[in-house]
Amino acid sequence: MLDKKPNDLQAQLEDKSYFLNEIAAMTKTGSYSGNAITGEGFLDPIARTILEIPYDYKITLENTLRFHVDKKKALALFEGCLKGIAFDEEIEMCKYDGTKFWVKASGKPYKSSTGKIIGFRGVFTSIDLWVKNTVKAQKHAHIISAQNDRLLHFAHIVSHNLRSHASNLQLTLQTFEDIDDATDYKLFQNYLVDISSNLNRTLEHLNEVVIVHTQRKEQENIDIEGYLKKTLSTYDKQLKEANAEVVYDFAELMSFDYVPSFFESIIDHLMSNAIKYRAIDRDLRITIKTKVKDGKKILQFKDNGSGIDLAKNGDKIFQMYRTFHDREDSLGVGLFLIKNQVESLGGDIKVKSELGTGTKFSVRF
Amino acid sequence: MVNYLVNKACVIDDDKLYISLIKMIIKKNQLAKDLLVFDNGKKAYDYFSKHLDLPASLPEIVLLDLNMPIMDGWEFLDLMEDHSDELAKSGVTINVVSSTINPVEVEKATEHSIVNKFLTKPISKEAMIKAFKTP
Repeated sequence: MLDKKPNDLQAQLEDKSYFLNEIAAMTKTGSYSGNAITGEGFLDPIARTILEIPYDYKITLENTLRFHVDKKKALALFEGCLKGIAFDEEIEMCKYDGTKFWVKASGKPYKSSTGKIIGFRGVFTSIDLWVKNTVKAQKHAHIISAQNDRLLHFAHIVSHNLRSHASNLQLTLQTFEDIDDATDYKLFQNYLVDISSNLNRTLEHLNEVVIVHTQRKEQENIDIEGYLKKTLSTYDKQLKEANAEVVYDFAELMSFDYVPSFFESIIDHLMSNAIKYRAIDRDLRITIKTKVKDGKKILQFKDNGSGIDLAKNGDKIFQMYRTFHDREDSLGVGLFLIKNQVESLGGDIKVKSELGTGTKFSVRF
Repeated sequence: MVNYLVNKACVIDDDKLYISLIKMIIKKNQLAKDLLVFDNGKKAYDYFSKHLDLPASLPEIVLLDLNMPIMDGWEFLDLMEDHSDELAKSGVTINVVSSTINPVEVEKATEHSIVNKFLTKPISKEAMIKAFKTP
């Protein structure tokens, strides 16, 4: 080495191919090319490592498509190259074993000395971590925004409901400022008793909601049929009065892990709603089903009750103290509460309903 | 003969206690000869839509709550907006009375075309008299 001329040494220190290899190794960037004339494909060692391809697996133009999730798109990109159109895109690929991941890939046509396109070549690097983190961040942003909405709604409810009791108290004191006879005094006392019991009830409701978010959520295996039977016996009297028929099918999902008190509350509120808002002109029929769709556990609860006009009330049905029926026992707490419970565990609850036909709730756990 | 500030007033609110108190204030201070009470927007709207051609049956002043079951104050206002001409002709003044402190709601109420005034609960005796004096 010592006998090398200084110029050669300098040339070695500036050798581009060395740096390119280092860049490729550090950034895990693979290189590939395709020969349109022979149909041969080439992947450099880094590319083969990224795709986890066995050492002896031979790459051709044909089998290269197996590494693409969207084969149509990949084909279009390569065919584009052969027509002279370069690309630089984010593509979802799959490894040799089928594991999907995202890459940033470029491709350019390769021309012979006569200017004819005889192939294409390019590089690609995994951006999977980045894409997955972005998706995760978006999901979190979504959850945070939903939580903010709920918090704001809750803050308004708290302020509104506490204020209305406070304002009644103030108005009562003002109205009875100068009590002159005994009847007035008795009335005054009655009003104070009413206010204090109303205030107490509101605080109990608010407390129930707070508990959803603060209590420890220990999950247990839930035997769905067992919980339903318990609820059915709780509402036995009302169901008989409504001449109700409850049909259920839990074949697709019989049990799963969940917070027992939440599941009990969900079934209980859906049942009591179905009974409360049944149609008076027909027997109540409730159909309950479990499903597994795209790996998500779903409970469907359908009734043939009086239904709700969702076009008018759709955004309000899960809000607190929103009631849509002229009934003394409508509190507007149940659906708000179970929505909070379901969402606090990462699920959601949806409703479909038609006035006069019935209502269907879908809880995704 | 008793001199009432207005002939007919109307309270639309689902809070029974509040209604009782308002009734007492109106009676004690001789604010209105008759009082119509509805506990939700739907009942009030049914009454108003039936009596639009009968000015004598319509109240001169309305105290409307926002948060009510079945039909809330907003929906009532939106439905009544279509009859703003008849309301103006019959001299109906609608005041929103609510315990909300949500600035969005306060502004929306204040700017509603058929709303005269937004009054915050608790409404004082003085505010009531003032509202009845200048409908």
